[in-house]
Amino acid sequence: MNELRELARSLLTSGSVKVVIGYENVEATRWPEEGPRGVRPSFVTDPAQADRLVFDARCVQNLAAYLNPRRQHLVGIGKAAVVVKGCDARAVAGLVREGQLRREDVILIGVRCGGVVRDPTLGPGLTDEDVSDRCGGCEDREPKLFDHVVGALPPPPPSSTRRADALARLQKMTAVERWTFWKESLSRCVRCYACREICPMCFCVQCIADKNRPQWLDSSPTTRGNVAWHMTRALHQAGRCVDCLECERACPEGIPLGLLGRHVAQVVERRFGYRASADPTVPAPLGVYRTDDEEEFIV
Amino acid sequence: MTRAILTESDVAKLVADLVGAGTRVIAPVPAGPDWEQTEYRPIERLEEAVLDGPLPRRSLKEFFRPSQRQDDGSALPPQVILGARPCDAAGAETLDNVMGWDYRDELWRARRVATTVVSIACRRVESSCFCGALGIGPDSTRGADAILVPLDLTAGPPPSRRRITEQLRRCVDMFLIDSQPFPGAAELQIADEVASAQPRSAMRWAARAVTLKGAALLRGRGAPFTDPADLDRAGTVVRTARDLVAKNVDTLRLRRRRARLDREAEARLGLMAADGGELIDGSAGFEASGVTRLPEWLAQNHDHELWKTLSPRCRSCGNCSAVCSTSPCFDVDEHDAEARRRRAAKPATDGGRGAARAPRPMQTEQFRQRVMHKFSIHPRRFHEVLCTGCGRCSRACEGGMNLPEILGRLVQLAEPEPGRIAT
Repeated sequence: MNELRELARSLLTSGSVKVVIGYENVEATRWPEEGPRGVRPSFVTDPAQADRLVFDARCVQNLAAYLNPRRQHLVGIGKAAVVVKGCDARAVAGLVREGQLRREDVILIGVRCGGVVRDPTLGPGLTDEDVSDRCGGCEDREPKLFDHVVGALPPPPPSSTRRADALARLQKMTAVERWTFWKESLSRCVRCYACREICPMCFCVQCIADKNRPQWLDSSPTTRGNVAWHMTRALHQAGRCVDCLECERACPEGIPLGLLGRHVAQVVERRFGYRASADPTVPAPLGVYRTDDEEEFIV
Repeated sequence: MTRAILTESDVAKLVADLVGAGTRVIAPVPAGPDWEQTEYRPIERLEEAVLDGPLPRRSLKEFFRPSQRQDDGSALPPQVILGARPCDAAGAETLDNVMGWDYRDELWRARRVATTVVSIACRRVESSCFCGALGIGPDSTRGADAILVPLDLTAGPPPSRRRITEQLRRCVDMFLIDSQPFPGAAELQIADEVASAQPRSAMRWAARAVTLKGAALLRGRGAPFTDPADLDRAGTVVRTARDLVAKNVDTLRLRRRRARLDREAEARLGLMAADGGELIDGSAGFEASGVTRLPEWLAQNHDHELWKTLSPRCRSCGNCSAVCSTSPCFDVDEHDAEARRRRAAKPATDGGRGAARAPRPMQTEQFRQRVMHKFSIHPRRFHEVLCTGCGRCSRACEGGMNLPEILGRLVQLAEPEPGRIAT
């Protein structure tokens, strides 16, 4: 932790960055004696405040979302250094790959990660029940894309098969059963678009859901419109989704959006041999045209 | 007005009678991934409800203005909301102003008329509660037709009890179609059994009607209010909750002087019931002391430097507005010659594109609008803030935005400490 704070302080003091985006404890404003109530994103602009920064298993938020060009209020502050877990760095790579961010415009502080909790108010200890679904089978505990890397590698998180099991069960269902499951789940959607707003990879200047000439999607929260919205988003995220599960965390209705994203990612991996990569120079299937792409479904 | 002492069996009978007569009864029921949260839902029997659980996840507004599907308002069954939080009851009444203002919203009004709100004074105060800063309190009767005050601080089920009602179990089974038990079912079952096996004393409430609707509901229910010790019990519960709220408000620096219930008010509490008057005075001990100058200050400081620094972590997901007990925002979707209302936070997000593009593209501007609407624009028109201090926005925020924390900073600017100059 000291290493992280020292680094943040020196980056701010030297003027290499104007703001360090990391995590801080939520505390003292309410019940001081209860201790911190989780962590939240922190925006440190003053070197003297660098000691606010923390990193541990509670830091589930994907801070790459703040590099999304839609966050204009942050662009205005100036160059940023961002604390990224290995998995979050894949979202940064995605933004760079898709021309939303220049790699040299951001300093990445990679942190070695031992898994995170489902919800930032849990932890810091990791139990089978608390560990985030995104940590199952993680290959990015050691950051691959960074300018600085801090901390020692913590022990691996408890292996959770919760989501793999749920997905396997879903994939084993008949089409009718699966349709029932998704119809029930998606009928709860209220179309608040929190999933889109919180997503690091959703950066369209005008989302298809907001277009009304022509209106592609039924915009009111009917099952028909909801299914259209979530399927459209899932396909637009194919091979781009970094599986950070922020959408699932933000959803006020608890719709298991992560299952949808994970399934699409598996299909992309199977068909194109591609998994959302931490290397921004590796092209993603949705962004390239190859003459040898399989296209048996067209004929 | 009608006053009575109600036991759990009285309330259970009330629910059964209402449901039997075709009334929709809505109460907090277990919800959320661990069933440890609650939300307002229709119930059939009292056992489904958790009257003393944590603050329900969403406010009551969806029962007056359903958030989805078309809103034809034709066959409206009478509905009773049992166990509403005082902040939610007050929130619905606050919204009446907007819904009956230049355009009188008949659908909202029809639902308000068809609904009886029975609120329950809070025994538990969450760390995000700050109602005391806004002129209401944990036993406020604003917007309620009747209020129940618990007579014991500890009676009833243990607060962290996990339980699954039949209804929820059915719901879970439906989702996992292959009828495998859902993860953790066994543990929950055990926790449920352990909790039910624990000795517990039955809950009792002092009930008081606030309106004629409330009086009609309570008429002939429970036992008459005879034992003076019950008054002390109710007073203890109310004072404890008010002290907890006052502590929150002070920690948040939402006002400078601690307006605790003073001796005189305490004595009045006793006197009032003894001489046949009100049992509990809805908002004694709380004044909207912290926010009196805020509307004016905000109006004059639209371009204050502070706004640029207040909301860096906001990602515009709109959950704050969705769970808000007083946010009136909605969208209208027109489809197939029908207009449907959809709960929305469009003024807070970068959507809201009508003829023009997004009016407030930056998060900082969106957040400023949220604060301005609640604490300046609305108060200057209706003479009350558009917030009841339920604290849901800070609980629901994925980015950790904390409205009361920010409000505390603004209040300190608007009403500086003596000897300090406002900046």
